[in-house]
Amino acid sequence: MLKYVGKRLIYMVGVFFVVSIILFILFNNVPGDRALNQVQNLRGKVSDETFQLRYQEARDKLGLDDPIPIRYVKWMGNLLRGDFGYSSFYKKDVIDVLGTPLLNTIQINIMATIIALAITIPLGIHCAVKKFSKFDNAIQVLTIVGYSMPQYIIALVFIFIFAVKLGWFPISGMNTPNFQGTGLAFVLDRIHYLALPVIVMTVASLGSMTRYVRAAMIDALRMDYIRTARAKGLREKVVIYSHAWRNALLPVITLIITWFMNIFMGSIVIEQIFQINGIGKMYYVGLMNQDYDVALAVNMLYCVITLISNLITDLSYGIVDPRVRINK
Amino acid sequence: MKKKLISLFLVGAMTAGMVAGCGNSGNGSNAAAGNDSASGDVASTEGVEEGTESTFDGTYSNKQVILGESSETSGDITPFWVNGASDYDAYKLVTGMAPIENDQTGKWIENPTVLENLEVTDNDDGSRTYTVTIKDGLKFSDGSDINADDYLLNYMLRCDEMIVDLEASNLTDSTVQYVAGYNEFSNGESDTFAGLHLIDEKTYSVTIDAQYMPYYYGSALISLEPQSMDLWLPEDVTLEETENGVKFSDNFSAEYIGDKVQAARYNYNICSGPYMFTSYDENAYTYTLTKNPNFPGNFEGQTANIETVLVKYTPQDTMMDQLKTGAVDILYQVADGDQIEQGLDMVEEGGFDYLSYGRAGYGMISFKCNQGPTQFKEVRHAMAYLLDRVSFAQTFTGGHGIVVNGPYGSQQWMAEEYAEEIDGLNSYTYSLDSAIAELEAGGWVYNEDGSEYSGSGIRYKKLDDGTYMPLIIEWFSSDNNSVSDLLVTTLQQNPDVAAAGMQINQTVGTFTDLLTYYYDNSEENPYQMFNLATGFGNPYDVAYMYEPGSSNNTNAVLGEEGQQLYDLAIAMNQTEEGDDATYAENWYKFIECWNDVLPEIPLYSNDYHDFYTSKLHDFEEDGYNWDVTKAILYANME
Repeated sequence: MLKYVGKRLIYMVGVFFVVSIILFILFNNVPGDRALNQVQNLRGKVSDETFQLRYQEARDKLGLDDPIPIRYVKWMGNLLRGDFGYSSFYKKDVIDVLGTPLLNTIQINIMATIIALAITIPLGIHCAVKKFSKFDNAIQVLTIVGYSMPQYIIALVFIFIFAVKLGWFPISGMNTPNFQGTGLAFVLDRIHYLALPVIVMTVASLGSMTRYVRAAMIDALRMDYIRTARAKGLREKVVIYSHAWRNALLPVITLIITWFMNIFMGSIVIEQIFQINGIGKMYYVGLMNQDYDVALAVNMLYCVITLISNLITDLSYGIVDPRVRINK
Repeated sequence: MKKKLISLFLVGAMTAGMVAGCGNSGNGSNAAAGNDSASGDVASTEGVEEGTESTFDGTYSNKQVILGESSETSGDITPFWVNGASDYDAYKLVTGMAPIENDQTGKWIENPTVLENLEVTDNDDGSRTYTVTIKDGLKFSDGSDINADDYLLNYMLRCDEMIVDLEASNLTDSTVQYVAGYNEFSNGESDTFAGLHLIDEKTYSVTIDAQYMPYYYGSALISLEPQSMDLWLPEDVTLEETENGVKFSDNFSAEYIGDKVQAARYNYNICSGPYMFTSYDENAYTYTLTKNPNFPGNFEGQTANIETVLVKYTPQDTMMDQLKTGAVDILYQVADGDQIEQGLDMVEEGGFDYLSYGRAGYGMISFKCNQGPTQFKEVRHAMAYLLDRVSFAQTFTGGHGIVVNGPYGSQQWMAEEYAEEIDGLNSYTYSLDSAIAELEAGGWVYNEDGSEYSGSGIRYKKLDDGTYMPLIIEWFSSDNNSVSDLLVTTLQQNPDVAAAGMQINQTVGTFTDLLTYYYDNSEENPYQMFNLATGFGNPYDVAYMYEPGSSNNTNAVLGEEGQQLYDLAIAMNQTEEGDDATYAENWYKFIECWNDVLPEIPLYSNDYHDFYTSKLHDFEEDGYNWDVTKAILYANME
């Protein structure tokens, strides 16, 4: 087991560096002049000579006149020391720019993931057990609709209904501006604000997981051991949850673990529409403003999360299904 | 029971998420003053009063107003680093007490609440000195005294090299660049600022460089507000008077002041304006500004009526809904036609009011006048004739905009005085014949092989070196831009453009790339045409934009016509202060010349709309002379 994990970790480090090289080259070949972008506001405010001086200083600081390999080594060296660079848009260190948004993203995604899993797993199992019933058919139709509808459409429709028409929730933001409360009052206010985006995220993710669980359970319920279990007179709940669900879990586990790892990744659409100060929104702002240190840092975070997610998924196979050996 | 369990679970899951979110409070992360309260009051902004009859009894609560901003707030309230319009609005609300302020008509007048004495001296070398004595007893929001060095600090901060070393990039404006010794100080050649003098604790002087005299907007040079020395600089860094001007003490360096400056950026808690910075909530994208008890009033002695102003980012997609639901109280400078219609419907339904005023600026096509076909005036004229600007403005603004024929706005008093003459400017009314006539007059009468133009295909012009230049214009536009999309259909693909023998090639890129090419005045710049927007301020000083050879001359208007434009802009500036009639005359001459040179084609000038809750009273602005941050001072809230 340890040997396997060790091998995978070495592999992950390799992949990390390959991805970092590809991303770095891509970002550094995007058209545009980052140094010019940084000093653009000085135009017309300082003399032409001073502007040129500042521009050259910015180029030197960004190392734009160095060959790409040298720039990469410098950037990676800084990255490994925890220096993610400097945001040319926010004019402060990237680590200061991304700290709060990352926490906000985790917060909202944990809520959405827990709720979505709590709804979709029982619902998928129930639909599989009551296959082709009216309830199952209705859920199939709804999940198809939900699955097909883009997240931003769901968001706009829900804003219109629940915020504008019914006035149940605020339209956007994470808390009441100038909110004076602390403790429970603060938590309730935050829940009030995050409820709508969480509901939208949950609804948007219901379709895929419900159908996935249902399909896995239907496959499991067709197996001979289920018939055997029923023949042995086991209670239906034991048959479903102890025998069928455990075996159906293997294909589902990948999705569940991915979902949990995605709590670190922001939803660009949701965070933009609901004005949530999250990592996805920062990524979008970084890209739109050629703030590549921010965008690269977020990309590298996504890379690390994906690698860890893959490792955990593989390890979890062995735990869920004893037939899978991961010690080789 | 099951329903209760489900409800409990949902709340539980959300609470678990909150706790698991690493305990991020997210409120007032940059709080300057404690705004925590054990009472746990929820200052809810929700609650719709749509369409209800007003029951206002004439008593104002004046508790709070929420100003919705269409650009994102950053928390960096000072204007020297991140330069968002919303941050700047918050900044303007927390800065004040300038010795000179502009009134509701845009005229610069003395501020008697601050000014003890103003002495204007014409010096032998042709320069002019304004000696300002401020009143005793003026205080910042924290109770500390406001002194002359606090005023001078604002000048110094706007052009000191050290601040640029701290990554600041939005520094100088015309308020500083005409002050004697500016170039030497801002370039680091001198550590003293020759045009500034610290005379005593309450007196300072500002001298306009002789080369810029006379200067019509001279008084505006002393319109800078005080910046607290205590806020920006370590205690032992001071301003020192020398015979050559003012300088920082020797211990002043970027490294030494760095920490203090960075703290001031995000915790601007010593304020001089009608409001003071209380906190910035990065999760609500909101500045909380509370009434400054030490603000003595503006030039009319007016202090703020409303206790708290929240400056809140309100994305365009949902801004009207936010107003409708009470999440914001004011939306200003709404320009989108659909949103204006939605707002007007809300006003009709009741519960909301609106203001409408013209934009001091316009969307435009900007040309490079030093290379390619657009270096020739006739080509620029021809293109203007080939674009139906009236229809364009109507379509783009949804009927809420007009066409202007020069760089002016309806709120400018000069435009008001010369309204009749402005109406007589060439409006380049759509005409293929006029476009062809312009091109023929400009020598675009050849085919590629030098034979006489056949009447179809691209026209050519014979250059001085004997070569032929095709009438192909390279246009760079930014992506996701609805003006560009409309220009494609109304201009680039207009059959009359081809019929006139012209071709326009479009290249689309990011806005940053557009700016790179827009500022590139070299003849190697592959593009000659851009579409973007511009605005003008008060003081209306445009001379630097047309200085031949300067990088600020983004149109690169050179030669005789460039010099003429520059001379007229200079003549406008160099009108004696107070001689309004001559200034207006010079202003019109400039506008008239500009209309002929046509370095830009104005496409539309919006009719801005402010929509606000009917609970707000006494709110008047025009967006130019008297903007929303000044109007809020007089406003009252039910």
